[in-house]
Amino acid sequence: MNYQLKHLTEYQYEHAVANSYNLACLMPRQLPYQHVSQASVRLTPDLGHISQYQDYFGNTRHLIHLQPPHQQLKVCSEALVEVLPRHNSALLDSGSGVDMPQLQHYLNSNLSAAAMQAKLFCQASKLAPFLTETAALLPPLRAPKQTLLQLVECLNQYIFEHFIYTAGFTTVVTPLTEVLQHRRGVCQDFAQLAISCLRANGIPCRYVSGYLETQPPPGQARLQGADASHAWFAVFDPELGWIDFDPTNNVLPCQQHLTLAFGRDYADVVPLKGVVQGSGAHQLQVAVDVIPC
Amino acid sequence: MPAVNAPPSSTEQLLAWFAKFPLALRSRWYDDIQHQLRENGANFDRWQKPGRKLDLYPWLISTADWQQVQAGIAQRHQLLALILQDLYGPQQLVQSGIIPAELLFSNPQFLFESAGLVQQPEQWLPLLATDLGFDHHGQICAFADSCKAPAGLGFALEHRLALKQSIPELQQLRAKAHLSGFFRQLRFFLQQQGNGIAAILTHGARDEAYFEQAFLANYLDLALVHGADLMFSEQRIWLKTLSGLQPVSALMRFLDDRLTDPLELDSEGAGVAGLLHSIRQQQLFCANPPGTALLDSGILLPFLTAAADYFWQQPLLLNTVQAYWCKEAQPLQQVLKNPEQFLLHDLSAQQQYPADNTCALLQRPADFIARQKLSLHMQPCYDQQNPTWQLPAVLRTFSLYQSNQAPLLLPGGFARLGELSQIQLPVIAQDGSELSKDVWVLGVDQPTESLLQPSYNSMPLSREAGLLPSRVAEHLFWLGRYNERLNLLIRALRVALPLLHPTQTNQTEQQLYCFIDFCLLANGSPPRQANEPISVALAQLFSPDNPLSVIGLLKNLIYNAQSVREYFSEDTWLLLDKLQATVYQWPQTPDLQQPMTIIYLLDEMVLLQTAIYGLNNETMSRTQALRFMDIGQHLERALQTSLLLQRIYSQDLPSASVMEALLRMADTLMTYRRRYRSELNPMAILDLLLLDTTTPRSVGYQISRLHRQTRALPELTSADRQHLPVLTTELSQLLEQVSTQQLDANYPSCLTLHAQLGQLQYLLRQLSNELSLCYFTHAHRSSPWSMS
Repeated sequence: MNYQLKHLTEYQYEHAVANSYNLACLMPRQLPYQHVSQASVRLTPDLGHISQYQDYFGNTRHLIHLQPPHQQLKVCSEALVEVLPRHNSALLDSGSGVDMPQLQHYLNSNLSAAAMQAKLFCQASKLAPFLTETAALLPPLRAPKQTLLQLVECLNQYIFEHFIYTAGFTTVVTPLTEVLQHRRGVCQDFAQLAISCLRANGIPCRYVSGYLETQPPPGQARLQGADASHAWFAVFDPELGWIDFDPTNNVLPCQQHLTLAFGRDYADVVPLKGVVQGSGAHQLQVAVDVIPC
Repeated sequence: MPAVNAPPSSTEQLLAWFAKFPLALRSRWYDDIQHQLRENGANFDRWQKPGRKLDLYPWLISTADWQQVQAGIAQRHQLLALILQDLYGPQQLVQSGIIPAELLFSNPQFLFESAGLVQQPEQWLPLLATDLGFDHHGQICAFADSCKAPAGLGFALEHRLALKQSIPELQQLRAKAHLSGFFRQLRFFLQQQGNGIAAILTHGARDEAYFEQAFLANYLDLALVHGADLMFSEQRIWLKTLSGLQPVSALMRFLDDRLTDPLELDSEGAGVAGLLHSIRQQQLFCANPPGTALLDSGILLPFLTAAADYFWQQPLLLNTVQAYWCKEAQPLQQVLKNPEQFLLHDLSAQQQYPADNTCALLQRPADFIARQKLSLHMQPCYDQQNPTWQLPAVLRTFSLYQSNQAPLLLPGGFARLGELSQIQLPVIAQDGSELSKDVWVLGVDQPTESLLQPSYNSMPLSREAGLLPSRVAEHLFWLGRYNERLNLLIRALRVALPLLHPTQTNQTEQQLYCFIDFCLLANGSPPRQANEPISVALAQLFSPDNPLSVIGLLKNLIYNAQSVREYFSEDTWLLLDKLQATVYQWPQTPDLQQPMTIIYLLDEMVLLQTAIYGLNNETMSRTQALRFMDIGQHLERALQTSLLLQRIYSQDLPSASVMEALLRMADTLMTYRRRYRSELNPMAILDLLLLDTTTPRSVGYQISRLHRQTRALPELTSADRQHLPVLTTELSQLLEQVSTQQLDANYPSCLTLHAQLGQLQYLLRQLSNELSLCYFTHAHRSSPWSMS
């Protein structure tokens, strides 16, 4: 599948600000199953300075500095993204990959760079801490002769069935305990919930930020800016590598999921965060378009 | 086996030397030294008394011992630098299982953002402080490393100077190594990093650490800067000064790792956005780069021997303390069995404490590193009553790692003497129970004055007006504005309060409400509602909780003054102290039945403020600094006088009582009487307070002064200041348009006057913004920066 991706963020400041700095994580990743071309980040007003580097997790970051006083700032990221099929469902059904004891053995004994990365993604992080409540979700789902992927798939389904997607119920700083208590949240909460649960059970797990192609209601045209950022998680299988799961939609991400960045949790891959000189409130608007082409 | 510090004869010789002098003299020396320390501290913060005491006896360390320390620290410094480079780079130590992945990746001091920041080991760790213990057998053992802010470097120097000054004759006793060579190297090292300024980045809080940083900055002749003094642009860091932006090439950092860059690290940090990126772009040299505090956390202590073996297949030259990760069962049992023998590093709380309480350790053992508590050799200490007093001692050493050179060790250090556990933990006891010593490395006869005599360009930041930091100018500007605003508010209250009756209201009183309205508006409160009782407005003005109250204003004033305290004389501080003290006498609600209590208080405040104006004119030698305060003061006076006149000349002509109050408030009643005898004419008053350029309280006077003062501001290298004269000229022209004769004829429909007074305020606010853009934020619209 080919997509034309556009992610527009617009700041509106109460008072003019001088020297705004933003750190963007808006460049889709080059992956075996995802080819990115014509990627760009543009500013309006076009008076800023953009500098690019790679972070620890291999994501491309842009540091944006706009010096003159301004009351409005638009950051527009665009790219052409080709997403190839991954056939992960087949791996799941065929019982491929390791089981839990094999995974534990691998983590305890293997001295490769991949194993080290896996161990990194076994540690608690700020937004996906170890909690007794999240850890307790997994054991009841375990079954004999279950592969790692099958176990994770059970959790994926469990979250989908027992938690209600409620836009606006949480913010980026809502702790997991609250999500658990009310059984409500958005994609990023569900991803972090799964991550917290899996890591507490010794399973390497990372946060994936990206986009989802959405279909307009039947008979209606696609509305501009109707899409949104999305998030899911991936687990590490020593034989198969990283496998994505989307608990919000109870699917294994494939050609409708566009991958932006990897991290331990949302805090590592915030699409755009900034600091400004000056005081006063600001308003933020985001419009995302994922247009098949 | 090495000797126990100095051979006994050295120490005996030292004590014998002191014993030659009468007790009273020794006692005076001791007091002199403590006084010296307090005085040093007082230069930077007169409310801060150092908790440290300096012993009369120096700590003598033998040449043999020091050679062992020197070789050992050099190796340890190189090893730690190599470990940091690996952990923030290829992570071979983790991959090969020497440092557990879990321990590293879950440590809050491991900054993922710092990965790959610099490439060479010595760039990762230019400065290292290591704590050493000496045991009874003369064995030397390193037990802690500190990288984020090598606290004690300034103290080591301060102690040497204090002892030298107080007992000059003692210096001849033994030949010892000089400290100055190391500091000269350090300065040269920082200044050679680029063509920009080398500076010390301070945390800015007023504590003993700040004193040390200021002391070092003075000695090394480096600029002392706060995060707010700096800005990032075009891949590098700049110092905002009154003459524009100056590039910064090197920073010696005394700010917690996570606070250094609010963009990439903690957003509430006091550092500067872009700091990490400027290091990444090799435009800034940072000693030490953020991320090095990983060493301070203690997680590497258990693995140093293994790491030395991994990199070099060599043993450590200097013993390192026995340390364990408590996740492993065996060491955990050992610690639990003999907790009194261990000290703990709590990794998630980022604290260290004795292992007395094992509760947290049992709950989350993986969060702890335990290290053995060392038994320490005692050092003799001076005590008037007890001639054989001695205390356990530890020594903090400092080393500097330059590329292509072995690490250089300061021949001396910062000694801590006190309770055995306390001195092995990083926090210095604040109860005065700790003692320090000047540390002498014996037997090095030739002074280690560096052979290298670098030709550096010194840049004394605070002595040259051109390099006055913008932050300082901004605080002074606002100090001027707040001081004047407070002055006018108090004057308005002083004339209005005695005339207000608490319960009854009559027409005369209502006319005076315009002064209360002025007080509200002047400090940014919304205007009073038409039918709102005056008591509500007064309560607002007097409430200590309302940030827009008189007290809130005074607090703003004090805050700005405290932020630039090194620019004021002692006498000015005395006045500011007194002014601040009035906060505590402030009544919650003014008793309008007995207005005199509050009037006295207001009188006192006006007097104190006037004295501050006078003193500053007398004593502030930095003319540009003073100019910003002056501009702030007169801009505020013009602005508020315009506002006041706008309130008073709003609809009807002011009554006689209002006019008299106005003249009294503006302190111009005498001037008026001299000119016009006793007849109170509204237009004459308007002329006096608005147009007359010879009355120091008139708007016209302020504007001509602003015109003159803004022209004398420094030229900017990087911003356009053309708007300033345009604005002051516009202000003068506007005043010329106001003609009282014309007004007189058309009154009371003086809409034009009302609009003109409004326009004056608008232009003055613009002038304030323009000054801020040019000199404080350096973000002028027509000024792309150029590299100089």
